[in-house]
Amino acid sequence: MQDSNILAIAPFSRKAAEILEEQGVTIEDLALDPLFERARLMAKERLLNAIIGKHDWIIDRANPMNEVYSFVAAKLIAASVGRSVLSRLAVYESKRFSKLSEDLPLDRLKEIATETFDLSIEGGEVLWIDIPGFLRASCHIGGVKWRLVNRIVRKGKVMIDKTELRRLLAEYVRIGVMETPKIELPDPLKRTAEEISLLYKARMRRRTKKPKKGDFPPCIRTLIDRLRRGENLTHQARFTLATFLLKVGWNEEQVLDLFRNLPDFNEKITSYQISHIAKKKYMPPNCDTMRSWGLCPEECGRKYMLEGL
Amino acid sequence: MTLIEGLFGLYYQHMAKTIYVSDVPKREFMFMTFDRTVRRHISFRNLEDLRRYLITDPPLHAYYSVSLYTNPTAPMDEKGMIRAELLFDIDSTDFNDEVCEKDSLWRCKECGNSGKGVRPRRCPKCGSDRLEVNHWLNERCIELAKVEVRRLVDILSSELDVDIRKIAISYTGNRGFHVRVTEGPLTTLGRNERREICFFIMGRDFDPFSLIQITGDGMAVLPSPVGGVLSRTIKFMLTNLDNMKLPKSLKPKLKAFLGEGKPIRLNSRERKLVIDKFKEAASKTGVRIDWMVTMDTGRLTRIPNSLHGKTGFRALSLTFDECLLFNPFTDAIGLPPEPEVPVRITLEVPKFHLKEESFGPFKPGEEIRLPGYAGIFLVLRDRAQLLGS
Repeated sequence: MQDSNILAIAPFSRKAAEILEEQGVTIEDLALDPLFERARLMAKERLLNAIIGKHDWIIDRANPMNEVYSFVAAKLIAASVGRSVLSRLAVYESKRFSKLSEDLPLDRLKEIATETFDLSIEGGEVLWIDIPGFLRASCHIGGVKWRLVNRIVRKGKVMIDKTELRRLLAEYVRIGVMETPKIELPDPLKRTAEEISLLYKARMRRRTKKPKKGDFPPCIRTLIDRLRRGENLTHQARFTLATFLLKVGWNEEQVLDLFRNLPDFNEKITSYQISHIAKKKYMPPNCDTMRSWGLCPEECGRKYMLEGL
Repeated sequence: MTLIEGLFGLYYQHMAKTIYVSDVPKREFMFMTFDRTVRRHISFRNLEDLRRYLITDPPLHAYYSVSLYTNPTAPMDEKGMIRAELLFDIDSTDFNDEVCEKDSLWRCKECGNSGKGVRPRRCPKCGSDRLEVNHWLNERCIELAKVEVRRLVDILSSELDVDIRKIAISYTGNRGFHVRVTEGPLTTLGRNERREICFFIMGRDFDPFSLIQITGDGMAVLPSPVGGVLSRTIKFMLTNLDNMKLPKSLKPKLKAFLGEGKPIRLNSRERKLVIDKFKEAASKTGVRIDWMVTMDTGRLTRIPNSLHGKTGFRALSLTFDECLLFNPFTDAIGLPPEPEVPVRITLEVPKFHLKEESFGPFKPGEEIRLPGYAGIFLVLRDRAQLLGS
């Protein structure tokens, strides 16, 4: 694996940031310098793909630094548009890394983990990651296998394998993009931000009615709030929301509209899933299951989610 | 100033030097005064100022924030959290133990029905769940809580690799203990990460299937080397296998599976049984902590060595060894025997021991004179009223 390729696969890496610093590239350069014309186009493409949910995993092998420039420009633009768009970009970048890193050798993954995300990773066949490092990412990932209680833990380390390391890193990519500061953009990038904002709003306008949260339990309220903020939700969280809302009388169209906020929203897949849940009349999970999925924010005293509704 | 307030003040005058909180300027303090007013968002420039405050304005309860803030006096969302101690609350009230609760009194707020012992879920007479409890504390409550402290400290140091010198233990002044991780990487974690740590420590929501695999040879534990909740559970099951309610034929198979890691073949009924036993064992080997407390980084917790307003006992900070030998009924008495106080008993009081002297039992309506710490203990527990001397 060439060093330049790793820059394209991991444009968020510390190495990439160091090169940017060495080159002395400023936000003004990214906005105005004709040398960065291709990077600007690629940044826009990243944002468009993120918004429409298109998966484009082709990388610029001829000039991998373009991936770095466009990654930086895209996240600054997204941050200036707002958290919903930033969240979409974050999920897109996370999935992109996840896909492109499939063939990365373990050493390279470990390098990214330690250098970029300050994680401590030991071992070879069997890997051990420090507990805080594991938790910061794992608690955003759904599924019982990501709960610490279900892991092998020894002397402050959690045992993982290579695939799990990649999944954790992808989550760190998402978190990293979400932390992008909002800064004043120079004019050409500002215009791109406005375009992106318009496009995003146009897609969101298709929503019909605002859902009412009424007397929903705190777990559901939290999920709806997170969704409204444009955060990504796990599969389990999506399933919970859909089953619950259908049970309390929302129609499929209303549920679909709510899900439009998802950073990786795909109308075809989502509407199929919702119809399937409605047809099968699935019940929302019970409180124990919610806890085991890490989706119970507080003890609310209800014995089951639909109590009193 | 009331008599009790005066005695609390006297305690702080003599014992202020034992009050210690690290990073005082970065913490929020909260006090409950004797007229039950809560003062929040208070900060002090240094430890001396805090001690002086306790002497001049002795509170009924004194708390500090587990978090360090850049601006501790600001409203909650503007404080700017830097990091937060990882606080574990072990409270025997959560154990529902019959011996510990044998002198606790409950009363239904709907129909007035009352009783003694573990609080029922609902009033047996009218079915209401609005029950109020006046808890009592005895040696059993403290012993049960100590067992949990020992297990918690063991898990923290051996599995989570917390430096034992960074673990602070203190008696709450009532029915339990606080265990704090004061420094290190775990103190930088947020709410969700803290919940994960708690469930790991509690063995809660353990799903054995995430670590047990079905192979061609049957069900097998994967993979070695083992550590964490699964290994705790296996150890527990091996020790307690003989007492477990399981079909006799299953026990030898299970022994080989647990002890030697041999894959076993089970039918679906047996498998369900074994998995249920795993889950049960996981929670039994876990520590009984209040996870909502640990998760809350905005939490305020009792200042070590301050007085508890429901007992008059000192919330003593203890080393691990001291904790094992600790007896609050002799070691944590914060108030003096003098002056003797006259009290009228309002709720039944069982026989109890303080400073190796025994008192009671007393019936409601009885009027007695008791050493200061004993009389005030009953008043603070709402089982007696002070009579004008």
